[in-house]
Amino acid sequence: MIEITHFLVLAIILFSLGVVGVIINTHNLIVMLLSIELILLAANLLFVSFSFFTQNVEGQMFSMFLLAISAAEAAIGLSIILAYFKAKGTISINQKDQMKG
Amino acid sequence: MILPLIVFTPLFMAILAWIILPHFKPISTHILTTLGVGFSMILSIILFVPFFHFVPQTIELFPWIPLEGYTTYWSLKFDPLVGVMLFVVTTVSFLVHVYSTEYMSHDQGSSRFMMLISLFTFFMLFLVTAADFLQLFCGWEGVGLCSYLLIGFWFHKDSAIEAAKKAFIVNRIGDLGLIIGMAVIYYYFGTLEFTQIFDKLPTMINISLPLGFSLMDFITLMLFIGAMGKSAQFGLHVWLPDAMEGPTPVSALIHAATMVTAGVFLMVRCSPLLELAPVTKDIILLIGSITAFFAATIAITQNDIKRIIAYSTCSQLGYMFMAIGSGFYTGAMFHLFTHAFFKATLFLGAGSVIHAFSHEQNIKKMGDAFRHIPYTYAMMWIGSLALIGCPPFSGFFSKESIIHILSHTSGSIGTFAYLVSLFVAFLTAFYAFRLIFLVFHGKSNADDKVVAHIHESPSLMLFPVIMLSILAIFIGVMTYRLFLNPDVRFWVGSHVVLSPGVHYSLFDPVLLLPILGIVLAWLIYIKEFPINVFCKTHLTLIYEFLFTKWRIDELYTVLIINPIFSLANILWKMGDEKIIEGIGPKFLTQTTNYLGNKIKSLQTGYISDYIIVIFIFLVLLIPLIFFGSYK
Amino acid sequence: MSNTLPLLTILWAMPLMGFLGIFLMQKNLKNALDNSRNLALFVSCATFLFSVAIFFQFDSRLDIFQLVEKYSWLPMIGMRYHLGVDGISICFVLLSTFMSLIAVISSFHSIKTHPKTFYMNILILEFMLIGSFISLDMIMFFIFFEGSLIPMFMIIGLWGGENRVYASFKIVLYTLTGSILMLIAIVAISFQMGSTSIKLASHFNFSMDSQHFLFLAFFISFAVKTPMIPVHTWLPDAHVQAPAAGSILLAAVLLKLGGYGFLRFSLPMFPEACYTFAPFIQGLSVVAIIYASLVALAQTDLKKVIAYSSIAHMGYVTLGIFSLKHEGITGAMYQMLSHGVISGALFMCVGILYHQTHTREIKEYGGVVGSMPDFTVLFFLLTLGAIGLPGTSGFVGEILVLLSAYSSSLWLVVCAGGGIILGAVYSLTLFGRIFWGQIHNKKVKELVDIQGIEKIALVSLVLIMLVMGVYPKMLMRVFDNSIKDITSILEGISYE
Repeated sequence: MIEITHFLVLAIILFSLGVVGVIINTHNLIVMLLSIELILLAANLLFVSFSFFTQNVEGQMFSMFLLAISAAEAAIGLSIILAYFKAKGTISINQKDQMKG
Repeated sequence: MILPLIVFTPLFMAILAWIILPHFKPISTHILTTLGVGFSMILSIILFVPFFHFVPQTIELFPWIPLEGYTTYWSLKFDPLVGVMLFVVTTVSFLVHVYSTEYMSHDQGSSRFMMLISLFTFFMLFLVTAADFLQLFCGWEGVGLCSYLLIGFWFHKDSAIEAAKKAFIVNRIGDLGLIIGMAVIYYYFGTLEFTQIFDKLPTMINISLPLGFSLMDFITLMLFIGAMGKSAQFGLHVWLPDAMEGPTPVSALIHAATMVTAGVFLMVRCSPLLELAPVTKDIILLIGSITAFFAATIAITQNDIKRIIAYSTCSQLGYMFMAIGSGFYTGAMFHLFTHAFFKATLFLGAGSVIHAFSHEQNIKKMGDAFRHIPYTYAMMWIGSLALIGCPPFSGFFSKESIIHILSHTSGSIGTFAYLVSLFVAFLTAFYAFRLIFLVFHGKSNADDKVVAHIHESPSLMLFPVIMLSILAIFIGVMTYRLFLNPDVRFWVGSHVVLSPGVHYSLFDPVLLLPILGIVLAWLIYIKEFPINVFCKTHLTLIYEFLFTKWRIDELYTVLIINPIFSLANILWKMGDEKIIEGIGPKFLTQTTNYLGNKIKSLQTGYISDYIIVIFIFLVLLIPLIFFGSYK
Repeated sequence: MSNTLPLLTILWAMPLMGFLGIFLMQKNLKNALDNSRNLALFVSCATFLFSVAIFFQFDSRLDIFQLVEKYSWLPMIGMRYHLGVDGISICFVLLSTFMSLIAVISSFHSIKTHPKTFYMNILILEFMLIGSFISLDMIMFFIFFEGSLIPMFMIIGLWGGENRVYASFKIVLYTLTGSILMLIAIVAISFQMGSTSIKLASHFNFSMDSQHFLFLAFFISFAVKTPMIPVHTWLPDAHVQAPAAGSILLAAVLLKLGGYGFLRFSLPMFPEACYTFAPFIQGLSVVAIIYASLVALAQTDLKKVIAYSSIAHMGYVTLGIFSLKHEGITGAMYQMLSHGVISGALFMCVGILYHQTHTREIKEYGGVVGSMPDFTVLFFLLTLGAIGLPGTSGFVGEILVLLSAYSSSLWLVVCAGGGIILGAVYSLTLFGRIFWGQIHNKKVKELVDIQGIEKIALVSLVLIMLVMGVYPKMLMRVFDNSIKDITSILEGISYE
């Protein structure tokens, strides 16, 4: 029998993967974008699973919103990366302290 | 109306002289100031001479410092004590003015000089006419100020600057005592006015202070410290010999006749307090006799004519304090009175000698001058005879009476003081005649050029000295009854405590001592018995000790002056610049900078680092949301 | 006293108008220097005359605040636009307008760069100083108290000596640190009382604990300003680096804000706390007197000697105030006024010397009397005032403080009196080294004696000092009732 616990564990694993992906990735902006997608999807998974176990449809509604948002976000993110690539000729973020105050 | 005129005429003239000084010839300021003081003198003689018409009075001019429940006034007080001082101050001052017009006439700053001694005269008169301690203190500091300016009169000489500063600062140390005394008096009596204090005395006898002193002992001791500073008593005397850096008329007026006796005046003024303070009286007696002794021993070894007379002054002041310490206030006053005239004679005579010898002050470089300057020679004889107490000169009456009273003073300190007074009488005669023999007799040790130039002073300089010497001869005979005889109601209204009368005898064995001193001086310096050489070679240690003035200056330099300056430097370099700066501003700014630098490195610029921080705080926030107290 | 005119507001606005006038002046006119300084002179002179007029309007027999103006400003915290003077503040107003005039005169020849900005700063400083003495609302007082730092910061930082930036930052940081606590205390008072009126607070019964806290908060802020040991080190630096005008205003008026604060806030509002802390503060004052005098003795810099002597003199002020006796407070008040005149004048003298020789080292001088006889006489008289010779104003304050200090302890008198001796030592040493002796510096020989407006200013300062010393009742009469008010509050406590 699949319990809610299994979904929770899966979501946590996905979430952590996403976080770790963001943190240890110092090379590629696209990988970072994917990791953020992963975090969003982990949240999505939670919404759906809680919606199923509590017999409440609102959760699934939210997951639809989230999908739409993440799609938009991916589009914006990719276009930013494109613009960045055009300007700098690379999408590596290993160029040190661009954001250093 | 006479009193304000006496006091304020010199001030007015000094100010006037100061204003017109740049626009007129020096002679105008000379005449102006001399006339001013002469006017004061005539008025004070008018006040002083009809002795039996004294009306003690106090003229209040206008309020000065308002205290709680009591306002001090600028006021002029008159009573017999003041009358005596007025007479002394104005007479000597007038004669010194006359003398200086000639003595200083070749000096560029002669106008300034005249203005300053006039100002000094004003402050001295202001001091003696004070009706309360604050005004007395004002005059007290005023004369100190004028003394500072006059010692430093030749301000291009470093030694003069140092001497002036020393005089002022040593006096200030004494003033601290006076201030403390005033604070204590004010705290207990609620007033600073003399008569009110004396009226309240009976209620204050049994108060004792925390330090084990009785109130009266403490107050009078503090006042005595003030008097010690001004009157150059042992311990605070160091400024007086150095003060001889000033022009000679200044030495005569300020450092012999008037200012240095202000301490004696203060003590006599406070005699009702002193009578209730046995401990202080003993201390005064002790200090007085030590001063008389040590100054006389130094005087016999010195070679500078002015310093010899300065130490002699110091020694005579010691006599006055001995008299005060034994309760003989009228005698102290009397000695002050006669001393003023004969010491001024000596100083002005010394001035003439220095003048004659082309500004040479070393008596070893003089000699055989009596033919060239006969008047000066005679004046110096008169002054010296009065100083050693030869009858019938004025010094005889005052000094004899003091020695007489001391012989009856009980206690070991009293005996000590009596012995000292006898020994000092001998020493006084010795150094006084050592001076005369070395300067006027024997063979001349001066350069030929100087000898050729030896000349008698002009009459304007001789006249005051002659006047003073006449006073030095006769004033004692004329006034001793007034001062010392309790039956004559001279002191009525002055609060001075009287003592039993004194009877003089010409056959007192005490009189042999000065004669012994003269004979010794004659043997050594005229007959040239080599006793002094013997002392120099065989008693080197003692001789050196005396010649270097008991090494007190050096002692003070090592014990007080140097430590204070090094402490000052330590406080500045360590205290201010290291400790306070180090702990305060420097430490704080450095810590701030250091922490800032450390925290700055958190801003790496990596997106991933920022994200870690965001997550960490998110994770920390979750328990806060659930368990925190922020609802 | 039927005044319909808001006299104090007019007084307060006068320097502000002058400020605006100079501000609106054409910058690039050739005679900008002349124009700005003449206008500044005119304005400060007018302000001074106006304050004298107000001084004579003041009725010293009444012990309440006079010429009061009161309008609501920020009702939610009880803040009001509230002006008024009593005997204490009217004297300080007079002092600040007069010393501002002196400051303007003293910078007549010495300020050549950016004269417009300089005189703007002087006038705005005067405005702030007057404001802090006449405001009867704590927040207004705080604004002016702090505001006076800004022009001082500019004056030191822009026209100062070689190390000016350091000094200007130091003064601001020091004072700000102290004032933060005062701001907190003011907020606390306004919460407790619902109003920030000084008048109300002096009769408000604060609880014992809050009194202690509030007292300390105010005390630290005023102690920095006074300055007391050990928070004094900003003063020597500021004085040494500041131009003459800055030093004059700093020594003469700015330091007095501390003492004024004690009299206006600490004593009447927190009397119990005063009794608790008084022995400690008196001890600190005596330490300050001795310590600062000793350090002054070791200085080689002309301005530092006077700066440290200021610290010592302010030690007498705090000693007198915290004797909590009528005489002590009167003496402290008088000492503040007299120190304002004397130290202001001394710094003006130093400015005159410095302007001609460009050195502050004492050993560079010597024999100045030869080339500047009049100046020497004036400087000497001022030195006497600083020593506290009877007949000068310095004596009156010091002797009152010393007489009252005995009621606390004999040792206070002894130590404070020791300070008097040391004062004579360093002052006379300074005088002797600068004015007497041989000339060994070519520049000294070429010095020109003072003349014109500077001479008039200096002579009038010396005359004021002497008159204050000979007839002190003239001024004491004015603030006597206000001090009686304070002592009656204090005595009410001690008898309970």
